[in-house]
This record gives sequence, structure tokens and C-alpha cells, in this order.
Amino acid sequence: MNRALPETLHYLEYITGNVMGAPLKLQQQQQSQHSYLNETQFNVFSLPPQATQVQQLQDLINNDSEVRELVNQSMKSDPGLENGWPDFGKYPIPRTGFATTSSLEMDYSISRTCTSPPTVVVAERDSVLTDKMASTIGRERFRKRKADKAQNPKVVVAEDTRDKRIKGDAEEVESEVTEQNNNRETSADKSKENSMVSEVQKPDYIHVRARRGQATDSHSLAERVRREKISERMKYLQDLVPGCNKITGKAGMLDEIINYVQSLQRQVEFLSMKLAALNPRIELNMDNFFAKEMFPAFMGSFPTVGNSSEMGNSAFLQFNPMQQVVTCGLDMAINPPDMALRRTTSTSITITLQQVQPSSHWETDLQSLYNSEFLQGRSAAFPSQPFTGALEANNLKMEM
Amino acid sequence: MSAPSTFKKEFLKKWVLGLQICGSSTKNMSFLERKKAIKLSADVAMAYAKDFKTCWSRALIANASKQDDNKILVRNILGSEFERLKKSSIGSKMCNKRVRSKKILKRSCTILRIRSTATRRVLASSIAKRLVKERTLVLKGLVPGGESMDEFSLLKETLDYIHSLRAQVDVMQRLAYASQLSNLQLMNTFANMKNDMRTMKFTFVTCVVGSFPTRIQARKLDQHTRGYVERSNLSGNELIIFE
Repeated sequence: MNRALPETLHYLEYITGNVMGAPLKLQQQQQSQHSYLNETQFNVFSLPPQATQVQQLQDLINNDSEVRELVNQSMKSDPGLENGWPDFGKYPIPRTGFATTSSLEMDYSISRTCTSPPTVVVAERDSVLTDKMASTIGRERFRKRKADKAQNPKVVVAEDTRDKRIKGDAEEVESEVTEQNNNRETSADKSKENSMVSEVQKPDYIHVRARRGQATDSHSLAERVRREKISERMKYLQDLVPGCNKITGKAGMLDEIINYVQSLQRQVEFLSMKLAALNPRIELNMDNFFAKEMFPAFMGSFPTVGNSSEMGNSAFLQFNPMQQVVTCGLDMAINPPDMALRRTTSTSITITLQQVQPSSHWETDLQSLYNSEFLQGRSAAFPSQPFTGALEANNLKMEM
Repeated sequence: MSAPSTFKKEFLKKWVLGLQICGSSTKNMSFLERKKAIKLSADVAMAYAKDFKTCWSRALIANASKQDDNKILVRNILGSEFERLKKSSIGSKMCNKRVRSKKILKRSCTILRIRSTATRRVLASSIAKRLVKERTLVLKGLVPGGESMDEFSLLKETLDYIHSLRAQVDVMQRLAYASQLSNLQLMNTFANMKNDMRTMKFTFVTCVVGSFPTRIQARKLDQHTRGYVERSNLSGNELIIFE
């Protein structure tokens, strides 16, 4: 029940007297996916200073069959809880990134609160746990109790609710559990809490609260879900957009995202201009050479391949207006263009400037030429033909 | 990272195809026309490579097809996909209208509500909300098809769009680099030929060379002498200034 997690965390935050304040809350919201967090809460309770109280609690729970039943029922759906619960007394602190730090912080603050009346804490905690099993009820109550601190309701109400839970039907409580599961109170408005506090005091507050809660809580529930989804997406965007790690607010993040998208779009414009400038004709298909090897080859292509000087310099330019070059299996390995740079001025340089014709035999032509030149390293001597104007139909080879 | 590289390959294939189609239609295009055609085919290819699964890709095609001269190109590039796309886009138009009207209603309600409860805290949060809203509006203008999306799906689309844009920029950079190098190589060989073999008759050489814009040739020679080390966008900048 991952949905229950943020609420139980809020709950703990409450116990610590809201020591952490907003940042922890935010973290908790964002980390609501982890089922480990269930364990962190148990962890909190299982620290050495609270070991005795934990034992008391455990005994309490184990002794009470009905409560245990309730606990088991509500824990069925959450494997994390199940795993955690048996090991109640002996937890390693889970290593879940920030959760550990937050749990540690919570630990310290809880140890602090432990010095205050332990009975209250015990009562609170055991109702905490039972409520956690019920998944939301106690948290609500505690949050509302914040407004009524002066009235000393804590122990009383805690006891009351615990008794009630124990006395009440398993079904009834379960239905409330499910209701509470659905109505995750998410509203941070104090005004709402104040209005609800009066409900707490009434004997059958559960019913009343559930009814009222349903009206408002479904909105706040949906709002909570929506907010969490948005924050999750913002996290992904944070990873994607460089330099967003330090910015936490939504507005700032959106600003960065906007800048990044604009810069990428401008880059595309610029690159298209560059390509238009580089190629006098738009159908530049020399790139098809690289199409096959573009990605692996580009990594290592620019360190030059040292070829012998006899190897023909391959200035293959193909102006290929009308051909589906992509499909024309150019499976030959292209010498990296840098090879030309290393060409020595020694004996034989074979430059092949080939004008490709939109004909089907181009392929075989090219392949044969290629084979003859590269694979065998032969520097062929071809007669130079007279050039007739445009680069349409001439094979131009020159040997020097 | 197989997904991005397959996306890149798909994009490249489709882009080259688009370029061929663009080039075959009109000969002797001016620089700006070429640039527009390149960009258009790149965008269409990017959307195509996504298989039109995302909202922005469909919106991109829709925007591209709005202008008549582009429409034909787009249709040629896409082929049969175009018709399928048109049918699906009609449904989305109706959703857009509904979303828009809902938003107008929401906006008017929130304004009234804010004015009534004018405590300081509420004002601060409302200011923050307004900032966020402004930024989301801007983002909606940037991402194609973003105007008709709610905030949540806008973020998702932005995520995808950024990812694809990055891949597109990467492929285009490599292509530009490759063509730059091969041009340099060609120029280099011609330069060397000229330097080494002045005595031979190179009438055909001059004919070949004459087909290139001469300024580019000259500038590329300079670059060659300066060295190939600085292969940054800066060199691209210089090239672009020419035409």
C-alpha cells in the first residue's frame, strides 16, 4: 500500500513535533514509491532507547488477537510491511538513500521526545501502529490533535480509539480502514483540520468523519495523487535537463526546461543551416557512407587510420540525385576521411572522383572500383578522360 | 542504450529519404530553401521515427502540413502514414476544444476565488502559482501540440520531446561533421594536386572545382592549413556566413 506511506510518514513527522518541517515532507512525498519506507518507520521504533517500549508494544499487539488479525489483514497487500513486521525488534536500518537520513533524523527527534512522558508516547505509538495498520486513521487524528493540544486529549483519545478498535467489529473497522484508505486526507489546510477536530471528540467520530471526509477528501486525494505524479515527472526532467540539480522549485525547473528546449530547437536550426551551406545540393548522400557506421565508427573514426602510402586516397564524392542510396547496400568499409590527411606526397595517389549516374549499374560499378582500390591496395592507373562540362557522366580518375 | 541508437538510425534513414524527395522536386534551390527543406525533413523524420505514438509528433506533422508547399513534401515523405494520421488527428481536435473551454472556466473561477480571500499567505502562493502558470504557458508554446494538454501530460510530452530533440541534434551534428570533413578532404586533394602538378593539364580539374561555390573552397583551404584540430561549431559558423 504505497499510498499509505506518505501518510504514515506525515504521522511520524507529527510525532516528532514537526521538527523537520517542510523539506522532509517534500522528500517523503517524493519517495512515496519505496516500500522500504515502511521499514524505516519500524526502524524508528526499534532504536535501542525505545527498545523496551517497542517490546511492550509488540507484546501488546501479539497478545491481542483481534488487533493482530486486523494487522494481518491490512498487511496482506503490502509485502514490505509483512516482511517488516515479524522482524519488528531487530531491524537493520535500510539503505535507501535519503530515506536513511530522514529516518535517522526522525530517530534522533524521537529519542528526544521519548524523554517526555513515556506513557503518552507508548499510547500514541501503539495507536500509531494500529492506525498504521489501518493505514490512515491515527494520522488524521494526530494531525487534528495538533489544534487541541491544550485540551489534553492525547492519552484519552488514544486510549479511546485503541479500545474502540479492539472492541469494535473487525468488519466495521475494516470497512473504515478501506474508507480511510480511499480518503487519504491530504489537505494541508489547517482550517479544514479545525473543522474536523470537533468530530474527533464525538463518540462515533469515525462514522461522521468518514462521511464528511469523503466529500472533501476525494478532492484532496485526487489533488495529492496529481501532485505526486507531477513531482515525479519533474524529477525525471531534472535528470534529463542538465544543470537542474540545484533547483528545487517548480517555477525554476520549468524555466530551465524552457531554456533547454529553446536551445535544442535553435541548435537544430543552426545545424540545418550548416548542412545547407556545406552541401551545394540538398541530396547529400555521401553521408550514406557513414550511415552504416555512423555510430560505431564516429567514435573511433577520427583518430586516423594509418594506411600505407600506396593506398589510394579515397575522395569519394557521390552526387547522387535520384537514387535510393540508403537501400543500396553499401557494405563496404569506408576509410575514415582523415586518412586523406595522412596521405603522403609519395609516389602514387589515386583520386577518384566519380559522378554517379542514376542507374542501376552504379552499384556494381562502385563496388568493383572500390574493391579494386581499397581492398587490394592497388593504385590503378586510369586514363583521364576529357571532361565534358558538368559532372554528369564522367569517371574521373587521375593518377599522379 | 539500444533505444536511443535505434531511434537515431531510424531518424537518419527517414531523414535521408526525405532529403532525397525534397531534392528531387526542385533543382537549384537557394540556400534558404535548402535549409528549410533540411529542417522540415528532419522534423518529419523525427516525428516519423517515433511512429506517431506521442502527441507532439502528430502535432508536428499537423503543423508542418498547414502550409501548402510543405504539405506536398510531407505527404510524399510519409506516404500512407499521412492518411492514417489525418484520421486520428480529427479526434484530437475535438478534445482540444473541450479542454480549452474547461480551462477558461477554471481560470475564471480561480480568479474570483483568489480575490475574495486576500490573506498574505494566499497571495504569496497565488503569485507562485501564477509564475508556474506563466511558465507552463511558455512551455506549451514550445512543445508542438502543447496548447491542448493539461500540465501532467505536458510534462510527459516535454520529456519525450527533449529526448528526441537531443537525438536529432546529435545525428545532425555527426552528419554535418562528416560532410565537412569529406569536403575538406576533397579540397585538400585538389589543393595538393594544384600544388604538386602544375605542369599537367588540369582543365578537368578546374571544371570540377568550378562547380563548388568558390568562396567555400577558399575558406576551406584556409581551414585546412590551420589544422583540423578545431572541429567545433565555430568552423561551421564561418562556413555559414558565406552564402
